[in-house]
Amino acid sequence: MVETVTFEKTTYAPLPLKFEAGTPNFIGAAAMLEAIRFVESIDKKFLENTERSIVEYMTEELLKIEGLRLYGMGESRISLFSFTVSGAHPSDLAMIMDKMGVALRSGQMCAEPLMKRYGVESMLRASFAAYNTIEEAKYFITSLKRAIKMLS
Amino acid sequence: MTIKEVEQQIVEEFSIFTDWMDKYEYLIELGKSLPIIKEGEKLEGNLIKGCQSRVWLNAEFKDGLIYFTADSDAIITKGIISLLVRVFSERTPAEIINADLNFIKEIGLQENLSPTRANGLLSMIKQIKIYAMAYSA
Repeated sequence: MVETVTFEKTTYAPLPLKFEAGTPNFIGAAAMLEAIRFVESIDKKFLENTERSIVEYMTEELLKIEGLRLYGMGESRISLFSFTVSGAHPSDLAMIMDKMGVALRSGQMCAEPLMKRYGVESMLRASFAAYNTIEEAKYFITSLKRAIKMLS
Repeated sequence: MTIKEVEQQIVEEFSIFTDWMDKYEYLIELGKSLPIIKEGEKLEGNLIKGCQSRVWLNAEFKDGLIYFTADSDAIITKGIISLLVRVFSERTPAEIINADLNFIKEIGLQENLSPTRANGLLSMIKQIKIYAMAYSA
């Protein structure tokens, strides 16, 4: 927060207030309320079934792709898929798939030590949720295969 | 050819493609033809850090001109740098410092990149300009 503002000079409030934003996050609070309402309105059984069928389909199809390495193969895997494809850089795949209408996270995932642990520079991540459909998962797999082909 | 003329040439090349997939195919092709940096010059000091991919940029100053070589582990990034090398290599520091680089906007490259990727492009240009400033001093 500032203390005084003129065209000549601006002074800031003393610590720790100078690092505080002036406006409370009321937009975030309103959005949070709607987000909770949305989640509450979804049938939990539906949510679980949709996500499980996506996880099963995606895991099976991803592992069929040559050179694809899927990370985090635990029993309790959720509908997020972090992976790399040998010979195709994550950033290239993400850029091409972006043009196909698929939004992917690529890069170090803000987790450099984890990248080191797996011996990679970067990864890709596809995040599915209950509002995604199996058709979208199928479209994802087709697009990924097309993108890999473009880069090989 | 002046920097402006090379830029115009690039804009014309890209105007052939209406679909972004074709533009990417072209960038991939360009990436393959990039004058690769020598292995020994892929040094930490030549590395432009970014979260998405690694880019090495090396500059040499000979007879008043700056020669750039570069490489990246990502091929589309490499294609983008190859455009920058084509525009900026074998130029005087003054030419580089004064270039305004309209072609990036004109071929729609920047608006088609996500903010983190566009930042990567801007850091490459910044690095090129820093080299030019260092050699002009």
